[in-house]
Amino acid sequence: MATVVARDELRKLQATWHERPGLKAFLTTVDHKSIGRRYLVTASLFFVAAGVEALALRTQLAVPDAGAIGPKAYNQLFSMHGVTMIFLFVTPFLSGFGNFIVPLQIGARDMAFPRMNALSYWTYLASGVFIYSSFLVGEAPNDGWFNYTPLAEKAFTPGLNIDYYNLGLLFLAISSTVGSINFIVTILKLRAPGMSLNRIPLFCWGILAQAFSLVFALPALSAANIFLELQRRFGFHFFDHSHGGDPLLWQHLFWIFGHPDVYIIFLPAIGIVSSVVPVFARRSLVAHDWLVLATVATAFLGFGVWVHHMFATGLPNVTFAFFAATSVIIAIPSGVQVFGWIATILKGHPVIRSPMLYVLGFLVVFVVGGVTGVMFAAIPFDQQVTDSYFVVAHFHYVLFGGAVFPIFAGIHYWYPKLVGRMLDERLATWSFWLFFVGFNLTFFPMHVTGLLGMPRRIYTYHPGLGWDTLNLLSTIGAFTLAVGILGTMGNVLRSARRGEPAPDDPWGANTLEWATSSPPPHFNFASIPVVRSQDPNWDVEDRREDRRRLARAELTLSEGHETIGTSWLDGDIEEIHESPPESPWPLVLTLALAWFFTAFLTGHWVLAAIGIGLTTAAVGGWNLREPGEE
Amino acid sequence: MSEPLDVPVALQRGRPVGWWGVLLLVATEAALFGAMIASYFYLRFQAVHWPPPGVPEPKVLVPTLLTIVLVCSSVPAGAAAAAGRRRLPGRASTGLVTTAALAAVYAAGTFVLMVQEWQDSPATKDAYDSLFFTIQGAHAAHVAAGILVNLYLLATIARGRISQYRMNGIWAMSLYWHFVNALAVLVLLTTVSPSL
Amino acid sequence: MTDRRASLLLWFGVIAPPLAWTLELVAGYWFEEAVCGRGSGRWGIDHELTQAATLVVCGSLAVAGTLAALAALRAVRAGAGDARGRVEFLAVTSLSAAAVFVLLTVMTGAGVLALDPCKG
Repeated sequence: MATVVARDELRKLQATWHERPGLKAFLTTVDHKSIGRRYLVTASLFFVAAGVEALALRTQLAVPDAGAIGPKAYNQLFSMHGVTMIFLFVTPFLSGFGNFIVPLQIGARDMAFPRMNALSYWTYLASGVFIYSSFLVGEAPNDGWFNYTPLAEKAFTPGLNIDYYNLGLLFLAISSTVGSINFIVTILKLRAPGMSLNRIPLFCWGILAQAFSLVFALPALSAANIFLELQRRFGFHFFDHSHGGDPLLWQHLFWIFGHPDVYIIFLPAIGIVSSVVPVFARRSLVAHDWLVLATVATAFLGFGVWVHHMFATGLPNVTFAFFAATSVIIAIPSGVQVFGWIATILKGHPVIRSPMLYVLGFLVVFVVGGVTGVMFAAIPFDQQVTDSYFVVAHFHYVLFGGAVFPIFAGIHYWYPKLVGRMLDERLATWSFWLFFVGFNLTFFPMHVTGLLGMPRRIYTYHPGLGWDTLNLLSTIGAFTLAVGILGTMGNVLRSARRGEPAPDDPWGANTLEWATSSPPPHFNFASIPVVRSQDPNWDVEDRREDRRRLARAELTLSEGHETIGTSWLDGDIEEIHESPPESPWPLVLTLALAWFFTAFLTGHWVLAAIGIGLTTAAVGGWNLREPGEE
Repeated sequence: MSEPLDVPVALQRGRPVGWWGVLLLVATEAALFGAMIASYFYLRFQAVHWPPPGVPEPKVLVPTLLTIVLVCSSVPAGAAAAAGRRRLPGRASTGLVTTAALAAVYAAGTFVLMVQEWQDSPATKDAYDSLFFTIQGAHAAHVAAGILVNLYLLATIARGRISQYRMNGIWAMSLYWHFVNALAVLVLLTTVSPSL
Repeated sequence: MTDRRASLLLWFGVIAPPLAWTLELVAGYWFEEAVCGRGSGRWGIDHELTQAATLVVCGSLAVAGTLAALAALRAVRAGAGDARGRVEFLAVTSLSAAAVFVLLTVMTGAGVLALDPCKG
């Protein structure tokens, strides 16, 4: 009897949530798992682009007075390398994990706003293509990823380069804002019954902290982009002294966004670390509550340190004093986290598999980057090494070390859930070591080249300055790193067909994404899980109870496209949340926006106005029909 | 262990997720205006003359009256949300129309003022004018978008029935109006501050 | 202690210390900008007075928040709170955070007062 009920419920769920494969479903899907996979694939392509750019730069810098790339191309390549890594690879890749994993980890069936989720993917893709199309006309952004004025003003960069930058980032801001709001509401309102605030998985905390940072930090960048575009296009004045503006205003606005952005990149990544460590250390996280606090506190404090990027601009000492103390103190939460992870590993029974290898690599690299970070909080030291390769070494240790290492840990950890097959462990180990050695060989010597006085953003240097061997080492390291990354990519592609089929929970993990099949069904969970601890998938009896509940048709919500809405503090059931099915409007709206931005870029004002009209019409069309009404 | 887990179909205890979404939209918009207003004062602190010589001081009386009209629209917006929750289409429609009408008075008045001010001293003249017009323009655009959404919501309940989905929309929209109206006061205080 | 009072204490402990630091940063930094600006420097804003006032107000708020967090934690340990541990979680984390924010507020304020204004 019970099994008949269960089978009946499963059939109904399958019928409700199924999307018939084909072009239509491809263009209209709102399934968070499809969108998550798309984010991951698209961001990987941008990663390859940024990698190729980096290799081109390193090739040019391998020997003194090289002629591989001229200064004009070099400026575009290093600017686009930065823009791509920060805006088009790391953040969206982590959003890809967030999209796929967050609803599963909190026991929901989709995001709070599934169509908005599709919109944030399509606008991400379109804005990335928009920014990259600048290469077609040979006018890619070329004033660095932080695009300082006055260099970025029309008088000094007359081409379209900076217009691509401003408009592309404004376009991308739509994607990030919509995505962040979606993550916040999803994590606060759609958690499984019983998942109170203290039981939210740390990866979700990382995404939550990131999303809040984006909501409050991104507008500063958008304001700066709008101001600069108005100045370049219509002759407004914000950043030019001759008309009452101030070039430092750009730096303030940029870094009010830019420093929180470091944590926007970093926090979900360390959420991955906090997911992997307890699973492979075979015990709950030590100091769990403090790790949550550290995540939230880092995001918060990240808003109070922006002027430390401007220590060399001649501002008054008192101004620095406001930001120096926080720049030192912000190391405390990171320290708490590092000790929390190490203690968990020491007190557990660690099993070293590929995800854990990347986590251990991360710990080593990140501590080095953290130490040089604290050195910068000493203002006299900062003023000595600012704009030198020491800075390049530092931020690659924290950003590549703090984000890309965990991302690779995440790839190896979640691949079975994403694809339903296991990666080749031997190839993964080999790739890791190439990756780790290559990374350190590339970036460690840069500390020294920086201290020897080599400035950033120069396309070549003369021999005899003591920089030659170190630069050659960095270049060799970069290619080694690239081979390591290619190894992982090969592994990912090969295992998708030939890997061993993955069981539901290959690692013996503690969070809910492992409580469903690999890959999960469209509806994620047949009966919404009920949670009673921080490690719900280790509560074997509770998970058995989920299955019994399915046999009683409880919490299955099989009558419609539905999931459970809960209270944000305690995870008490509040409502049945109706989740809208697939829709063409996110794509249509994105195309309308792309129309507007392209018309604006090329200076066709009538077409741009039509673009605004199309955008408005698309928003109207989106809401014409109610979800569930056919 | 097994607390009863049957969920009644019509259950709704919390605010709808759409309301939460608009709350966060409002937060990010507040940060955008925060950045613009901070830029205004940042440049103002640096300037010996603000507004610069040759630029008239900002008008106070008419913008203040217009802002008062706009702020009043919070009342019908709130009434529309309350009526929506009680599924009363007639009252909700009245609230939506009144809100849009008050906002339209503000938008039209502000537009006329801005055209005059532009003729006196355009945004391209100096940083003071650039910020003055950018901040006001950005706010006026938010009011205009709000009017459009209100009219749209009005059309969706014209058949005399308010579904859950539309109710959520009206509820969330009232939050947006409260925000835009509070922002109007801040924008007014910023832009008229040289004349105070 | 009533539930409502305990809950108010808890939330005051969560919010006040970070708020104090935020206020100090925003208000203190703007006063500093205003004191040193080429235009606003003529308005006669007193550096030490404004900064000391900011430090006193924000420091007190931070300390008050810390005491509230401490009281909330004691209440939890004495048996109030909830079965899921959510209240204890907030009490523990807010008290730890409060310590950091008090330190930050005082460090920043003291550093600012010790320096001469507007000198680079």
